[in-house]
Amino acid sequence: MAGVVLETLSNRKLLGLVIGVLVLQVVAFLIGGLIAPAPNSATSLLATKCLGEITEPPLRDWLEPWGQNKCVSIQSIDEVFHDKELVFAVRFPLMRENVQLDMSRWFQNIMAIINVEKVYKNRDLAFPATLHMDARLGYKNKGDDHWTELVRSTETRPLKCEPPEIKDDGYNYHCEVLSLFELGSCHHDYYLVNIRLPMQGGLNSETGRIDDLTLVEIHQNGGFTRVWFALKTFVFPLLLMALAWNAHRVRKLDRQANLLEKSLLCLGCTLVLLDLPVEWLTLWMHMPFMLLFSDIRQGLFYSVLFSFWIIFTGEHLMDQLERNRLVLYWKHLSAVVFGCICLFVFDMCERGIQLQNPFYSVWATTVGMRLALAFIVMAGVAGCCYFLFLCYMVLKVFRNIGAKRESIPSMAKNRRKFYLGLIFRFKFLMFMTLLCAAMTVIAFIIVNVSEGYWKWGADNTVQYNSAMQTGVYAMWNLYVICLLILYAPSHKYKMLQEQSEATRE
Amino acid sequence: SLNNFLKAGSKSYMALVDSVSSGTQLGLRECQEQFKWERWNCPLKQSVLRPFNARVQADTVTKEISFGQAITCAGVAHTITKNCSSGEFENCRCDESKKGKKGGRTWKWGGCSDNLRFGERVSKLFFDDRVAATDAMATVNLHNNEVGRTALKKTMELICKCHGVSGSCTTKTCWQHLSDFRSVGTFLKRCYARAIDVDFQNGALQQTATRRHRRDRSELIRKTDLVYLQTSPDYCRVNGSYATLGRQCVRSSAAAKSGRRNRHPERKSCHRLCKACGLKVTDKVVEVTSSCKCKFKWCCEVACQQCRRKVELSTCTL
Repeated sequence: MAGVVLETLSNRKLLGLVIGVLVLQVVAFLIGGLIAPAPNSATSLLATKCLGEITEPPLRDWLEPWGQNKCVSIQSIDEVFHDKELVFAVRFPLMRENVQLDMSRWFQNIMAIINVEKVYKNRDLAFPATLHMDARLGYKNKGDDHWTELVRSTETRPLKCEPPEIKDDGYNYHCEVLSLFELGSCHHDYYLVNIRLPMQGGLNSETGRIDDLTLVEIHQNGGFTRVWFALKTFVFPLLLMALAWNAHRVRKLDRQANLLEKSLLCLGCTLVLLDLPVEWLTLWMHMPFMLLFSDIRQGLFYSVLFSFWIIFTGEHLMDQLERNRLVLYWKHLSAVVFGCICLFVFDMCERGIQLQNPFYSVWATTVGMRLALAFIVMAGVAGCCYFLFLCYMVLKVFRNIGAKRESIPSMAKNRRKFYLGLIFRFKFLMFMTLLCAAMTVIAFIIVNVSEGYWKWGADNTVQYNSAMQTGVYAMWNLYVICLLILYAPSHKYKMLQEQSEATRE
Repeated sequence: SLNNFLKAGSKSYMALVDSVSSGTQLGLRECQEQFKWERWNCPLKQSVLRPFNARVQADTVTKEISFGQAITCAGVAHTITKNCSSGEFENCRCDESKKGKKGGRTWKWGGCSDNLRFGERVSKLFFDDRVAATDAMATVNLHNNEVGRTALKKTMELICKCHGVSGSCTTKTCWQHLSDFRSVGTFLKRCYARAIDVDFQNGALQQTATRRHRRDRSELIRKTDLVYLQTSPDYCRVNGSYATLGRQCVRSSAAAKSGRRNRHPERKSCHRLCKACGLKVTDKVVEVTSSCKCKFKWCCEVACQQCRRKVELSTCTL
């Protein structure tokens, strides 16, 4: 096995590299925490209860909750009206300080969630019930006169509500939020949602009266997108350079690249794909598939990273067995591939179908929910299998290292050097990997816990959430860049080997 | 500041006045609902609570006045917040978001601040800003207004949604959901039950001596403590006449039958309203016609039958 740059690098150069990487890492955290706003913002929008003509098909005309063509609306659902039907209408963004806001392409994606408000009336209702909706989503751009339909759909959602703690009239049920739609692009200026709850043939009879609908619109913040794009655009050429350098080194070898070198190059390539800042194009083009595309890119990168760890550990087993062939790792890799395929199928079912119908959700039907859960559980099982395999292999390596330690002093100089190098390489990667994995887990925990401590009035000067996002992203990039540089075949090593062979002769 | 933005008499200000007015109404309605079975049944007028007056019109600040003050303040903040999120109101501010300048840039960079912030600021503008906190009454009122707004915040529900890769929790967004106003009322009613008698000393509010010897010796008055200056009068008699004469109440047996929870204020209401004030309880059986067995057919169509049933009404009489 050939030596790598890591072994021949002088301590000074190694220290320099480590410091450089640390500085970049800290900078990545800081720009996320100090410059970027929170990654996403959510706006609560109370639906206006418009009265519309009863039409066939339903929702033929657009009903606007406010603005110049404001619909005729009612304040309370108790108001009686005839020959009209009730349509919940939401338009966003809203007016603020007499200025009409508009959505920006920097927002990247839009997600809408509905919260059902239901007043408790002297008895408990049986939940879950099925909520049936006719929903229609339209858009308008600056200068347009009319709304253009994006999609219309008939949807069902399982509605789960808890009765209030004090079971008394006037309190609201606590209903679980329902996802309404998800758009992979934010290409237009204004959006309008019309929702009608059909009643023909006993539909919606079990949900009873619904007093209000609140729609929560979530989009990525423009400021965060800018910082994110900047980070990607900065990291991409760095990574490309490291990859090119590594490929150059491998090509210069007077032998075929071995499995480890190939898998490292492969890892570099998938990260290049992940970093490729194609998102810039969304500012000009309508690319609703971006959400799905980023999911696939990330999935691809992580599956190759997991495979790389297995191969790296396997190639450092030091049990005299000549591996260097991918087929030998079929058990481990099939766990990775299987897990990824499960998640891919799940993602295609959710975000893939959402390309056709943004209102679609796998979780809406019982069958879909079971199927989605099955895929996720299978992916989880595959992940566990993978993890056990990896732990077993790492343990084996450490055992072998222990065994080798004893015999090292009695080895020939060359052989000793080879094994010491092997052990150092392995331990270095182990250390780096564990550090990055631990940081990722910590970041995940912080993201999930910090939101629980919602503080009012406190102006967050540090955006932990954004810092974690940019920090973790930069960390895995730097990790791969380091691997590409430090684990490239060393020409110095070859020279040293030749020298020692020459002296022996 | 908001004051400059909403100069009295400007268009934006006038639009606000409507919302403030209906918010005050909301507060008063809820106050009456919460005190339906108490001797004092919230006979307040909007003018007493001074959203538009420079000074409080009440001469004394009792526990009850404190409650009324807090709940109207909460009602205004609630209404404004709601109107802001429905788009009905075009002047809601979109500010205090991070690293953004006024107008569109703020919104595009970091989104808008929560509507509740604006609701709170408006309620401050109409209730707080007009009184300088120099005397006891003004300070007490300022504090009680704050309690009202705190109640609104405390009853809000934090809802989160995960939307990372494949819908995982690598990204999570949370928002505050405004709860029904009944819950705010109930929260404030609990604050009322443990309201604190205070003195005004050295420009700050302090718990009165008797109170201080209690177990919880904390000097600090929290934002969920309603405070008052005068002890409540006997609400059985106002100006020498029976104040609860003619009030309806519910007999304990009837309350138990209707399956109310034990701590419901309806319980023992006849004793509280009539007997304890030296009045008798008179029962009268009346026949009422009401809609029943309603089948709900979405919004406008509700198919009901007319039912007649006998109801026992209990009233306080001489």
